[in-house]
Order: sequence, then C-alpha cells, then structure tokens
Amino acid sequence: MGDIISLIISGIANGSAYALLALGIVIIFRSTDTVNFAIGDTGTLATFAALSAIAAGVPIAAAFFLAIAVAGVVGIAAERLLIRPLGHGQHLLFVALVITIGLGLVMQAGMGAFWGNTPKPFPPLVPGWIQVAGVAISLNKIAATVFALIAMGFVAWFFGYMPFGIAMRASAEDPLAARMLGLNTGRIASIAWFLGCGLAAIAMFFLAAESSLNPHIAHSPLFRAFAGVFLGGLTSMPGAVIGGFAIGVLDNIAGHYISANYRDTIVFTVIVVVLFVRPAGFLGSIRKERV
Amino acid sequence: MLDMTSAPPALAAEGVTHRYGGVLALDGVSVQIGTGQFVSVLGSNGAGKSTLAMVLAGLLAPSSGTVRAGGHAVASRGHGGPIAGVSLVPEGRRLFGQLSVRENLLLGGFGAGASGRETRRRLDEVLASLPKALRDDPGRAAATLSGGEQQMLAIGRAIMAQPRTLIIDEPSMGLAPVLINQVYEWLSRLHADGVTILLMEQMATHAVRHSDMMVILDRGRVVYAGSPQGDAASAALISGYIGEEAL
Ligand SMILES: Nc1ncnc2c1ncn2[C@@H]1O[C@H](COP(=O)(O)OP(=O)(O)O)[C@@H](O)[C@H]1O
Ligand SMILES: [Mg+2]
Repeated sequence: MGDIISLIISGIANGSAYALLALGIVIIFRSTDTVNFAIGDTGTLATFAALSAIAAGVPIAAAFFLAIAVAGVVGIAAERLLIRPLGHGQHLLFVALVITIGLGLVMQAGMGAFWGNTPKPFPPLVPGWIQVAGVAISLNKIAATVFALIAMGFVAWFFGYMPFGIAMRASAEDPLAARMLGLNTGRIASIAWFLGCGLAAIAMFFLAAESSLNPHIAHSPLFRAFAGVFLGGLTSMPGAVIGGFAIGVLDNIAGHYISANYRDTIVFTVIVVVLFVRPAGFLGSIRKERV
Repeated sequence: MLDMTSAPPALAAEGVTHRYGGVLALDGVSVQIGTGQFVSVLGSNGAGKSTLAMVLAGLLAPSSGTVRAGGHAVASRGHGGPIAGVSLVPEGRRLFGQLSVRENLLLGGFGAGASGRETRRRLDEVLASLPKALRDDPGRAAATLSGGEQQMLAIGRAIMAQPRTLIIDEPSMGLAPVLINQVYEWLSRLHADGVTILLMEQMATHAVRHSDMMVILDRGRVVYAGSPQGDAASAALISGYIGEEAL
C-alpha cells in the first residue's frame, strides 16, 4: 500500500512536466490548428539559453524566467515565419505538422552544434530533498509540481476571465467570426504560441535539473505529453493536464510492477485501449461544435 | 430627414465586382447608404447579398471597385477587421456556441477596442435590451439558445461595438413571425437612435415596411434602387421573385 502511494506521489511529480507540455500542445492546437512537434525542442533550446546565462553569472531564478521568454519568442517567430504563411485549409494541417517536426530536428542539430551533444549538468531551481509520505522527492520535483499548478491556474484564469483569453477561445471556434468582430487573430496566434512554448520551457527547465541537459532531452517527455493529450482529448485544456499527470503515474506504476524496459509499451497499450473505448479522449470533443 | 447633399454617405460601393474563382458574385454594383438611413438590399438566394455585406463591412476586398466609408476610400487593413464604426451581423449569426451569452457580448466590445470598464458598462446596457431569458442567465452557452434568442444576441454582440452603421444579413432566416417582429422592433429602435441600418433580406415584407430605400440585387447586379413603395418598386420585387407576400 505504501508502495503504491509513493509511486503515485512521485508519478504526479514526474507528470507535472508532461502536463505542462500537454497544456502547451493543446493551447497551440486549439488556437492555430497546428500540432507543434517542435514544442519540446523549443523548451530545450530555451533551457540551453538559461544554462549559458547561469554560466555568465545570472541567478538561477532569473534564468528560469529568461528561459520562458526565450521559448515564447522562438514560438512566436516559428508561427509567424513558418506556420502563418501557409494560410488555412484542411491539408495544411498535415503540412504544418511536418514543418514542426522538421523544425524540431533542425533545432536539435543546431543545439548540438552550438552547445555539444554531451549531457551537461543543470542546476535545480531549488536544491535538496524532502520526505513526502515516506518517499524521498527532490525539491526540484516539488517546485516543478508547484509551478505546473500555478501555470495551470494562470492558464485557467486567463482563458476563463481575461478578454484576450476569451477571444482566443472564440477564435479557435470560429476564426472568421472573430475577425468580423475586429479581434486580431494574428495577435491571438502569437500569444498562443508564446504561452504554449513558455510552458514547455518550464517543463524542460525542471526536467534538465532532474537528469542533465542535452539537445535530445525532450524526446521521451514529449512522447508522454502527447500520450497525455490523447488521453485527455486534443481540444480540452483540463483534459491535457489530467492526462499528463495520469501518464506520469501510469508510467511509474508500470515501470515498478512490470518492467522498466517496457514502460513505453505499457503506457501506449493503455492509451490505445482508452482511445478504443473513447476515441475523443476523456474530456475532448471530436469535432468543434458548429451551431 | 437628414440632408443627404452635404453629408457624405455612411457607406458607398462604386463599381464593385467580386469573383469567387470563376463565380461572378457582384457585377459592377454601385450603392450609397446615406448617414442615418435604413436601407434594405433584397434579392433571392445567390443574388450576392452576403458578398456585398462583407465587402461593405470592409471584411472582403472586392476583385475590383471601391468602397467608401464617410467619403474616404477604404484600404485593405492589416489584420482584416471591419471598418471602424461599422458592425456586421453575419448570415447564420455565427455566435461562439461554446462561449456564454456574456462572453459573446464582451467580445463585441473588446474587438472594437473598448476598454474593460467601458465594455462592462455597454454590457449592462445591451443585456437590458435582450430577451428576459438571456438577461436572467447570461452564463448560458450560446449554443443552447433558441434561434430567436441567438439572433437577438448576435445583434447585441454587434452593437457592443457602438457602430454608427449596422449591417445585418438575413436576420429573419429560420425565425417564426413573432420573433421576426422582435428583431425588426429592435432595428427600428437602433435606427431611431441614429444608427445607419443596412439590411440584407430575401423576405420583403418587413424590410419594405421599415426602409427609407430599397435596393434589389439580381445575380450580382443592381436592378432597382429607390423608394420601397410605389408601382416601380412592386414591379421590381415581382420580377426579382422576391417576397410576393409583401404585395
Ligand atoms: N466562398 C464562396 N466561394 C465560392 N462561391 C461563393 C462563395 N460565397 C458565395 N459564392 C457564390 O457567390 C454568389 C453570391 O453568393 P452570396 O453573396 O452568398 O448571395 P446571397 O447572400 O444573396 O445568397 C452565389 O452564386 C454563391 O454561390
Ligand atoms: Mg446570403
């Protein structure tokens, strides 16, 4: 019993990174119809920038916010330069997907060329360990969970109450109607990409401190974040968050009780089964409602 | 009556032609919407009413021709929003179904650049003009409203921008007569408050009754422009197969 509780607790802590990435994916997908496969690498790039800043004497806390800003700006640039010129249309969804995959690969190569491919130690925002219900958890993980919850609270408030957030939901539902009201759909897209990639930077910042930083570090967490997104439903923000945490826990339990070697297989088996039963995920809708 | 000779028209199209690929939707259309007027554009399905509405709102750049607002030629704008002071209630209402009544209204003000405080003030004002069901539960999702409620909300959302000119595209579509009356009563009140109204309709009855001027479109061309009353108007309506029930 104590085992399972500790697995759940550390699973939630791991899941916070997946939840942040998943939320970023959904924000970008909902407002610009683009599945951004480069989101993890954007977060990694921003974390490398933070590492260079830390090496130059910038305090870690400041470097953390720098990482968010760098990822956000890279996100805005990617949307403006690579996605927006494509225009709109069904087949472009696929084109945009391939473009973001390509962008991710280019970023990984660029990071490798600039910072090298050998793993680099990365300092935690908060060093140390604590005991939670008999489980030793790094304060870095606790901080990640707390920041994930804060970020999610912010996103919920922003989309629920801020005119700009409401405008983003409206634009996701009917971009032409949003334009008819004078809502600036271009600016909406920029803010979505800034937010989404900023959240990815938070996730990668904490993940780097858990292990170390290398250009390919986003690969496995992005994989799990997508699993969380599909579990929760591609269109639902709360669904993505819950899905991300659920994957963290599932991953931990599978790795402990079955085999660490088959974690990915087990996680994806469960997802395939879930999607078989509920193709839209737990909280998503397959088609955006039209009235 | 306003003096039409000194004030430039609120909106004007000059030789506007628009093609969608090979389809000619507007063919050399010239119309003037005088400031303070209530103008109806009538035409059967496919006549080009919605295209003209989009062009005059500044939301669609025509293939050729000029649109003027208050005497100034309208250039195509950066993010492609409507002309300042002009609001469009589009065909089919296009409410945000997953957003609440309140959120739909709020975006009408926000999109027009009103401050948060000003938007909230207008919101109270506009809510007061809406049917009781909407006033009582502004948190309801727009998708759950009846057709009549949706049309009223769509008008409310447009006037949150406090437009000087309101363009409304087929508001009676799919509505029961009693609801159509409600919609037209509201348009009359807005007109009495000084808002220029440009109405696109297939159903002539109400439109003719409320208008100062009538324009009839047929396959993208203006076939009549003038008084909505009189023999010439009736003849034009009949030849355009529009709203026999009006006669
Ligand atoms: N987006 C579009 N693409 C292609 N053809 C269109 C489009 N919108 C309208 N049309 C065509 O243009 C003509 C005028 O349409 P529209 O302006 O919608 O007329 P109305 O509103 O009077 O029914 C019609 O022949 C219609 O089929
Ligand atoms: Mg139409």
